[in-house]
Amino acid sequence: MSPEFMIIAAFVVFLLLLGAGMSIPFAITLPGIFYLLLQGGLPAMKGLGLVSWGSLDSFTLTAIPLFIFMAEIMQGSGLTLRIYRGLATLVAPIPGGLLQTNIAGCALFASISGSSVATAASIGSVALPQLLERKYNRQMSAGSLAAGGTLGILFPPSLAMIVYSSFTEVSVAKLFMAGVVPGLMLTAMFMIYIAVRCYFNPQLAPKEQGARSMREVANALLDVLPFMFLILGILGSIYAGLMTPAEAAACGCVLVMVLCAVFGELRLSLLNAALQRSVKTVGNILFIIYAAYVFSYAISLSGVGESVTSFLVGLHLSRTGFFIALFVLYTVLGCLVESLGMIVITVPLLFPVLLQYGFDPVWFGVILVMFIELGQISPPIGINLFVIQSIWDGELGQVVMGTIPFHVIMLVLLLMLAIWPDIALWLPEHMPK
Amino acid sequence: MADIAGNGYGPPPHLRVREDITEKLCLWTCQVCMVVLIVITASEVVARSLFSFSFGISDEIGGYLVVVITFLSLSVCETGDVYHRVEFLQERLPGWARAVSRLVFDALCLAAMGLVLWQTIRLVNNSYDFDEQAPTILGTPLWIPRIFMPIGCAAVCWALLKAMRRDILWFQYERAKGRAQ
Repeated sequence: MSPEFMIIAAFVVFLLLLGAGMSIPFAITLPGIFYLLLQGGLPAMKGLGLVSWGSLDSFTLTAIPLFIFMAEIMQGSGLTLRIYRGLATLVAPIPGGLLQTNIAGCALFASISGSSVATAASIGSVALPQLLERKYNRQMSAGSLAAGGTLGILFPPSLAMIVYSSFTEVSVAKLFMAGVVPGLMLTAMFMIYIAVRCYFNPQLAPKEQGARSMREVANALLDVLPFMFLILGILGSIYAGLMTPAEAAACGCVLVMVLCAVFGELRLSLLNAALQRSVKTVGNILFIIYAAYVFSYAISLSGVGESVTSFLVGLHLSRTGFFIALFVLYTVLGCLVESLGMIVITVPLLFPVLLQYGFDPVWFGVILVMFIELGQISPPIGINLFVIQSIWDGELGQVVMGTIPFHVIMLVLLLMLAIWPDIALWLPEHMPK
Repeated sequence: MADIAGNGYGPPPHLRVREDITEKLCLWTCQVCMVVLIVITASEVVARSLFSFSFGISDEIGGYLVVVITFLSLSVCETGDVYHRVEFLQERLPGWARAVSRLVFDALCLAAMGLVLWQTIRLVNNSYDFDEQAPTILGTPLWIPRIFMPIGCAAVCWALLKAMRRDILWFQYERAKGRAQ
């Protein structure tokens, strides 16, 4: 059996196991091991121990548990409610009211959590009861939260970007910075869309009063500003090269604990619960990464990676043609494979081809994250759809319908990034050496 | 549509696998590792910023801690049923078929993790026999951090065995429920 045929068989096994309901990390590990066994029987397993060690003994990956813990403390301590409350006062007078707060809140929380699910769940659980109580349009409420949640992996500290970096050795700091401008643009585009729709159809969102006095504005600023400073501190230290992302995450954990002590509540039981939740989330992510390394090892051992590269290069597609092919591939995958799974399965195979086509690896990191964002709100397995549905009492179909306009906006930004890569690359190119 | 995040189509609550001392120890160790990771990394920043001094160990220890967390969290996540799964097909299956499919999946996972366990034991053995040391200031004997890999694999194998027992009980429960109807 040729290696090319075997890799196709391994991918089919992966998709079958995934579709049949096996847990995702195991659904990636098993075809990897199956592929190794097909190639060389038990002797092919000999490198597995060293691969297990080499794939995870990485300082880059230490940022993942640290950023997740930071978000878990925020979520558990009630600080998310404080941020949302402050933003509601400041942002609500814009047409769209609390729908605007959803997007701004998601953008702010995204800059701390690095995870779409954490962002959608945290802001969603605070926002949805208030939105439903004040009779906001249900479809748009759910859609704005599911789509807003996806900002979690575009803004730094994006966990998806850390994972991408661990496979490609592209600087995490540069990837983080490359996500800032597109993240801000996407936030602005979401907010403009909501404002325009609510302006022309006021029934979608009741008019909010906002702050009635300077005192209320000051209180709202006090709710929001400490976190803005925290975010700016983390990003600024990474941008200036003062700290690595992992170091910034560790300092962020300490500072969030201080903020909890000052503004929220900081109890040992709360920290313990946050640690326990973090271990489970981190375990899930790191196992997916490990599984992908086993899969990549199997691919590299057979040399099929080179065959795939030469096959794709041999197609003599233009850069645009290749980008369109990627677009189709990731759109389909986004509907079938979970977000990190999409990175870890495709990047080891496609990355050499991207370099051959002259694509900037930092730019591609942002594009990939955008594709993942789209996947997270695409049925049937878009995870943010289920996160929001699990919080409210509405139908999943309403959440899906609510996200469609945001889908279109994301596609517009994707197109803009393809035409003007500098949107993503400008900031990393201006980082101090 | 499929549920990716939950385990709504899993076994009934009374048949869920409970954490035992293995998972509790693993969870506790992972929690300690997270705290140590924060302390070491933040201390490095403070020492470097305030005293222009580097301990030079945070990279090395951080890497080891990631390995420990990854492997020791395996059994915690498995027992807690926190791994994401696509339940597109599962939600359409009757209860007994879901139990059988889980049993098959768990058996396959056990076989795979058994192979990883075997290979990680070999790696630790070799590291010990050849006295491998990290090329760093600490010169850590590598068998020490590496030993957590087989420990974690053994723990997840144990968790999978418990899950398989649960799957059989689940199957019997669904059959009995079917007969009663």
